[in-house]
Amino acid sequence: MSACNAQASHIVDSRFFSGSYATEEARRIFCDLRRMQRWLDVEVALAGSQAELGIIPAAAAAALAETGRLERLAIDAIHADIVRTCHSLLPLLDAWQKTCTVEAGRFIHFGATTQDIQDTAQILEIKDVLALINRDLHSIANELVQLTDTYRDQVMIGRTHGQQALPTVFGLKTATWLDELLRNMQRLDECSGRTMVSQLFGGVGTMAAFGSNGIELLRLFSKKLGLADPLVAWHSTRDRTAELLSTMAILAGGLARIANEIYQLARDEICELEEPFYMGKVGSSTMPHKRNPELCEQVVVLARLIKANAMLGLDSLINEHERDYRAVRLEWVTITDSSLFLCAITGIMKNILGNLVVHGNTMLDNVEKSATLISTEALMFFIGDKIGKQKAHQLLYEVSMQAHDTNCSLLDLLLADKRIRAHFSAAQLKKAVEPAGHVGLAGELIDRVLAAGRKRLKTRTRKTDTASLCPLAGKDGTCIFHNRKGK
Amino acid sequence: MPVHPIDFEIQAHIFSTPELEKLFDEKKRFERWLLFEATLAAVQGELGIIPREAAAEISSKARLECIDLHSVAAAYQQSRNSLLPVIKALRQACANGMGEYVHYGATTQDVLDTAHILEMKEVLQIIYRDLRSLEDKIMGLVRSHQFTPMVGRTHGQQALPITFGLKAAVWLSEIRRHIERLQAMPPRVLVGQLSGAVGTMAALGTQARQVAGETMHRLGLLFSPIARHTARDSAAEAACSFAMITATLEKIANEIFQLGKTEIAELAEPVPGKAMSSSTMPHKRNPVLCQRIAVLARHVRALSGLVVDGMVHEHERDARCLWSEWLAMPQISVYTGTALHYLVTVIDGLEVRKERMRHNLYLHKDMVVSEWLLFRLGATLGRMQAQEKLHDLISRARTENLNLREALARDEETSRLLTGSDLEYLDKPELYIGLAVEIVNETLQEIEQKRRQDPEVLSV
Repeated sequence: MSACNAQASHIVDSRFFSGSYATEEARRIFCDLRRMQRWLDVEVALAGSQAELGIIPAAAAAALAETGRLERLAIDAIHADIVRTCHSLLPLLDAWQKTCTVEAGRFIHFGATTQDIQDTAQILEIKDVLALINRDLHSIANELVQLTDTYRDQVMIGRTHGQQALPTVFGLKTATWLDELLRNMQRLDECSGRTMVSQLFGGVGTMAAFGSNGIELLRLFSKKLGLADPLVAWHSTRDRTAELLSTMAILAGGLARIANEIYQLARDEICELEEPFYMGKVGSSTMPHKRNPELCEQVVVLARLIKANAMLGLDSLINEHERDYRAVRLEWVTITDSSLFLCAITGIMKNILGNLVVHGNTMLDNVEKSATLISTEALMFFIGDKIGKQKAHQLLYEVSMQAHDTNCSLLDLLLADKRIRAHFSAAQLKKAVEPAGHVGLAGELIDRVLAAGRKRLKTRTRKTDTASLCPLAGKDGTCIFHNRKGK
Repeated sequence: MPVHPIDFEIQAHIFSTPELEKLFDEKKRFERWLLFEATLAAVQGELGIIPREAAAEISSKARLECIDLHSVAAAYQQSRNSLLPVIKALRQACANGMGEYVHYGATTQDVLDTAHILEMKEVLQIIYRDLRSLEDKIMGLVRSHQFTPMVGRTHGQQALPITFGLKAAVWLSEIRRHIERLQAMPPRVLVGQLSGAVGTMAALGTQARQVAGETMHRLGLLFSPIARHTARDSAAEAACSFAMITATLEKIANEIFQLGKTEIAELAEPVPGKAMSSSTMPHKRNPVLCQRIAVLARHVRALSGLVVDGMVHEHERDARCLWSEWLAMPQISVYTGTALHYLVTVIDGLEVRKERMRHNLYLHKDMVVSEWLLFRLGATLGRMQAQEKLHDLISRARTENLNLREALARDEETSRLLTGSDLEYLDKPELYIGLAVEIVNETLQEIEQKRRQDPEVLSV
């Protein structure tokens, strides 16, 4: 060991920046000590199940349950052995066996293959991650319901091709955010239903080493760990994890769309939205006036990383034969990173949406600036009632082009036209181009989405919303290894 | 019946150009293969490897009009080989059994790879020509707007004043580097292939290297005796280079798209006469070409990943890698050329609204020179304290709806420290453009000098 003991080189572990790439609670799920303990827990669950079925002695299982604690093992020796043996699990099991009696130790990892233990443990990690994500998505959905309800009548300009198009309301925009989120929550639920399964099939998936009771063992083992039991081995069938990574990418993309919209609408020239700002938040080291939408930008950064991992998830689908190390080891990075990044995103989005600054007056200013130009369609029907639609079209075309060329207001030019003055007053025309009168069925559409959102919020089940407690936390909640380090 | 949008005949040339379409025409591919076979036979005839009369016969028949394309098409329905139906038809076209000497000692991939490189040569020449033309047009833009002030933006927020010339000069320097990359590519990329089935040249006889070298020379390509059947770095280099070029094009197009938003309205892509933007909103004027450029660039990026994947070849041939490359490269080439063509059009007719640039710069004119104030106050207060002071004043100005100048004047400390001339930038932010003019000058000079030394046509 050199004198330098760099322990936080990945950005998610940075003492300074981890907060932008992960949350503390998410990092705890993937803590490397907890990972080892999870493997031990899975082994203990296996032994317990085997004892119940009489495959191994009950006393051995009880002894293993008692000794299967990471704090009792020689961590440094495990590390050294992993380096020496190039095996990820055996050194842990060896170290454990050394602390057991011969009678108990010989039943460690009885009939299982390494990947049985590690895949099962990884699913348990994912289960904890999904609990956090679901909890946050619930909050985000709640914020979106509030925003949509609050701004259901907030008229603003809609934009296509980056150009002002027609009036809309801000609540309709947020309703599309909510609607997409609800679908993503559903996707995550469905994906979770397919993914939360154990793995326990032995070397090549035949269960050969488990004896005749293998299938019953799988059922018991899965139940003990709170997972469903799969029909057949999935060592080299990675659609579950690929679906999870893809679903995470879709979810992250949907949230990043919101963040990007806020970023775009926060431009000085548009200035309709602003991410939360507080005194002390610094935009620029050299330009003191800057208020940068950095939270929104960070969400986009994380979503891109998650998208890249989804591609790797698809690569993992192409497995060879009964086991393919190359595919599985990709997941150790992709699942971990995507989970941490996604937890960071949901954390940031809760903050952004909970404290979003909406400049309603600027929204009105922006829409009114181009109100007449964008209301030509409405005007055509309005004027057409009196003078005929074709004539109205021709008249409006002429006057619009004139407005364009002379930079005069369309309304003024219309009022100066005697063909118009003969039929309409200034007040009538002004009313006809009122943007609020041209938001179509926005209100009804909003109601539909709000109803769906509120329904979903009611179905929340707290049980699945809580991550498991860390088994390495002491009674006071601090890590037992932290205390050990102090000695 | 065209199915792929590249080939559409009615909605033609949205994702291609006539020139590139012609280059990748299926029959043109066969012609290149035939050219390869004719050249090989000619060289082998001269060296006495095959009879002279065979070489002459093959050369005279290796033309599309001598080949029965119907029977070639029928044969492809049965064949599992990409080349054999064409070779067979050429053999049949040759009189007196001379067809026996067609494709003598070569392997299928020798022909296909070499033909691809011939294609790539033309593609590189087109891209090189158009990139230089784009460079020329952007130079014009830079010259016209060397003194046009506008606001610079970071994080989507107004930052400090710049000139439009400086922004475009950054584009210019990026494009110049792409041109230089292209100039460096021929020795690595424009290398033909004639190495036989597993790269040993076993069937090409003792004069194999001479045959191969001379064949490539006549085809206008370089030759390397070591086979590239499984070494796909050249294709990957071209693909990655195109991915980078189109990313630059997308970046410029996106800048025009963003700065063309209604509320910003500093730039607008040209719209031909009566072009309609929206089927339902008559007032719309959409930046359509800029968006097409983005679409093409994204496809090139995605496809270039497949070509890089194709580098992971197994053993002496790996069809999964190879065919993936064959499918990707024509699209990558066509999309790159098309995006480039579009951007040349956009830049050529780009509408630059100087008034609007000034208007936006003046939106928060005293704020956008906050850097200067920080610098100025930092000299006496120290940087940290100056930063805090300005932060306070700026947020006070924001909440009390003052302009910053008033806030500075009302503050006892800053009013004492700042003189009238210190505040000039607050009234005229366009003066705070640093060395923008000089930087643009130097950039123009450097690129003009390089352009004088550029070859007109990219060649081996």
